Amino acid sequence: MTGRLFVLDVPENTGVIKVARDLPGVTVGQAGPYFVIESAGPVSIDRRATGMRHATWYSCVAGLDGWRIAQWDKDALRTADRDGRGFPDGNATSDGGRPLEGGAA
Amino acid sequence: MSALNDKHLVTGVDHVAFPTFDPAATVRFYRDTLGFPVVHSICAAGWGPDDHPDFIHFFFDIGHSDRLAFFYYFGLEKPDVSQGKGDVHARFGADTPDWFVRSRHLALHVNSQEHLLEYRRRLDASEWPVEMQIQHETIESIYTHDPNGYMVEVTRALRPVTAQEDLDASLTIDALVDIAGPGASMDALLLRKAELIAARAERWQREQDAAGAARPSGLAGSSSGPAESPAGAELAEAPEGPALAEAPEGPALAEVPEGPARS
Amino acid sequence: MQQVRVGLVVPSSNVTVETEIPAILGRHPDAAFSFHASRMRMAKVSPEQLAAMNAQRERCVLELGDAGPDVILYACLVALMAAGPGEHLRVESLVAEQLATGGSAAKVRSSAGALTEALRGLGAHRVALVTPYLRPLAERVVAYLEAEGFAVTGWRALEVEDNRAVGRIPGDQVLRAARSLDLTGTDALIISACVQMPSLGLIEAAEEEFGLPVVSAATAGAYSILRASGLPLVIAGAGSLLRSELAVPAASA
Repeated sequence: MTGRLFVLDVPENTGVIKVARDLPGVTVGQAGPYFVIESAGPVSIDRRATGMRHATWYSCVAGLDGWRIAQWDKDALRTADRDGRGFPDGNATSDGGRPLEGGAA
Repeated sequence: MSALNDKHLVTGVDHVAFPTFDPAATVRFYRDTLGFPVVHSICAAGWGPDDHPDFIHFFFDIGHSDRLAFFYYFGLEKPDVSQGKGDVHARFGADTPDWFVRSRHLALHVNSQEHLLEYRRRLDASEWPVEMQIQHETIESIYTHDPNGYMVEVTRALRPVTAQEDLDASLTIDALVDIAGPGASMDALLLRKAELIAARAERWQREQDAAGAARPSGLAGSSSGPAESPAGAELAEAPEGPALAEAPEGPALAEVPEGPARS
Repeated sequence: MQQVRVGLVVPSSNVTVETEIPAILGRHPDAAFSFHASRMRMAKVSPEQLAAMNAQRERCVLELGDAGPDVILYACLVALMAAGPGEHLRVESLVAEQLATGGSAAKVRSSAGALTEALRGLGAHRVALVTPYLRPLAERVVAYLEAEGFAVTGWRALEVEDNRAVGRIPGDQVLRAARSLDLTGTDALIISACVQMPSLGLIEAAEEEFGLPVVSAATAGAYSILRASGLPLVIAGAGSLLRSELAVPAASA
C-alpha cells in the first residue's frame, strides 16, 4: 500500500531525508516546506545511517498517510500498511491501529 | 469591536509564583548563586475571608523584566518531603514516573554557550550543582533543582527558529486540538497532521515565496542557510522527545559529549 | 446610616490628623465614621527622618489591614512631596498592592494625593499656600504642586522645624501669613499645606475674609475619604470644598 511520511525541511532532518532518498522504490517530493517520503510499500530507515540523535530522531515525522509506524526506536523507523501487513522481515501485528509506543531508547 | 482586537498585547511574564518554606536558601540560590536580583517584595497579611497567615511575596528578576516570585507564609508547616517525589508545592507518589514529575519546570534562556557555561559554573560551585547537561541538535540545557525542589533549567538555542517551524507548530496544534481526547494517540495526530499538511503547506509556501522569504535550505533549494523566521531570530525549543539522552543521576556528572554546534 | 471605617497612617508626633479629620467627618449627616491609626515614628521634618519614617509604612499598613478598614489614608504630605514628583502615586500604589495581595478591599489615599484631588475638584488651577516648613521643604511642596499642573501664585514658610511645635502654631499666626499673600487671580488658598499644622477653625473665616475657597490638608483628606466612600459633600463649617452638595437656598449665580 502506498504510503507517505512527511518530514519538515530543517537542518536537523537532513539525515533521514538522505537515507530515504537512497532506498529502493522511495521518492522524496515536497509539499511546501515538508519533504514527502513516498513509496508503494512500507519503508525502513536505519537511525544510525541518518546520524541523527535521539531528540530529533523521535520528532522527525510530521505526518503519516497510508502507513502506521510499526517500529520507532534507537535502531530504526519502520512503517507498515494500516491494514496490518508488516514489512517482510518486521513484526506482523493483528491490530492495524496500535498506537505508537513512546520512544524506548 | 475594539481596536485592540486580534492584537498580541502581553509583554512576558509579570511573575510566575511558587511557595517556599525556606526563603533564606531560596535567596542563596537565586540571588547569590545565580545572580538574579531581588526586585520587589510585598509584606502582607491574609485579610480575605479565608484563614490565612501573614506572608512575604518576593520577586527575582529573570531577565527581560520577567520575574520569578515566591510566597513565604509565616507559621505554615512545611510538607513532608521524605516520601515520594515532587517539590514543596506538589507531591507525587513514589511510583509516579520521573518524566511526569519533571513535566512542570521553569527554563530560563541564555544567548550563548559561554553564558550557559557561566551559569553551570555558578551552580557547580554551590550547594546545588548541575544534575544533567543535555545537548540536542537544536538546544543545549543544564538542569538542577532549587532548594524547594523546583526543577530549574537553563537553556540556549543552537540556531534560530525558522518560519517553517512556526508553520509546523501551528499544524501540530491544530491537529492535536482535532484529535485530543480519550483514545487519542500519536498515530492519530500524525494522520491528521498529514491531512493538514496536504491542505495548507503548499499555499503557505506560495505565500512565503511571494513575500520574498528565502526558501528553506534542506536538500532541495540552493540557499545556504536556514531561512530566518519572519519574526526575527526567535530561539528554538526542542520538542521534548519521549526520551531524553539522560545521564544517570548521581553525584558524578555524566556529560553528554558535545556534538558539533550548528549556527 | 453608612458605616465607614477609616485607617490612618500618621507620623508618630502628629496630633492634628486624628483631631481634625474626625471633627470634620463627624458632621456628616448620612454616615458614621470610625478612625483607627497606626504610627510611623518621626519627630523632625528632615530628609533623614522622613526617609526613616517611610520605611515603617509596611508595618503600619499590616497593622491597619487587620482592622478591616474601608479606606486607608496615608496621612503624609511633605513626607511624600519631599521625595519628588509623582511620589504620592508611587506610594499609594505600593500600599494598594500590599493590601490587594493580602486580599483586602480597602481603598488607599494619601494626604498629598488628596490635596491635588481636592484642588481639581474645585477646578482650581492657580493656588497659594501657607506651610510651617523651613524654606527648602516648602519649595519642594511648591515644586510638587507645579509638577501636578498647578500654578503657585504665592507661598509662605513659617519655618518651624519641630513637628510637635508645628502642632501648636497659633491660628492667628497662620492667618497673618495668609493675609500677607497677594491672592489676586488665585483660585484657592491652601491655608495649611501640612497634616500637623492645625487650621480647621480658621477655614470658614478665611473664606469669608479672602473671598475664595480655602482648603487644608485635613479638609482635603476628608474630601478624598468622602469621594472614596461614595458619600456626598454635605459637611458644614469646614469650607466650601466640603459643602458643595449641601442643599442650600439658591443664591444668585
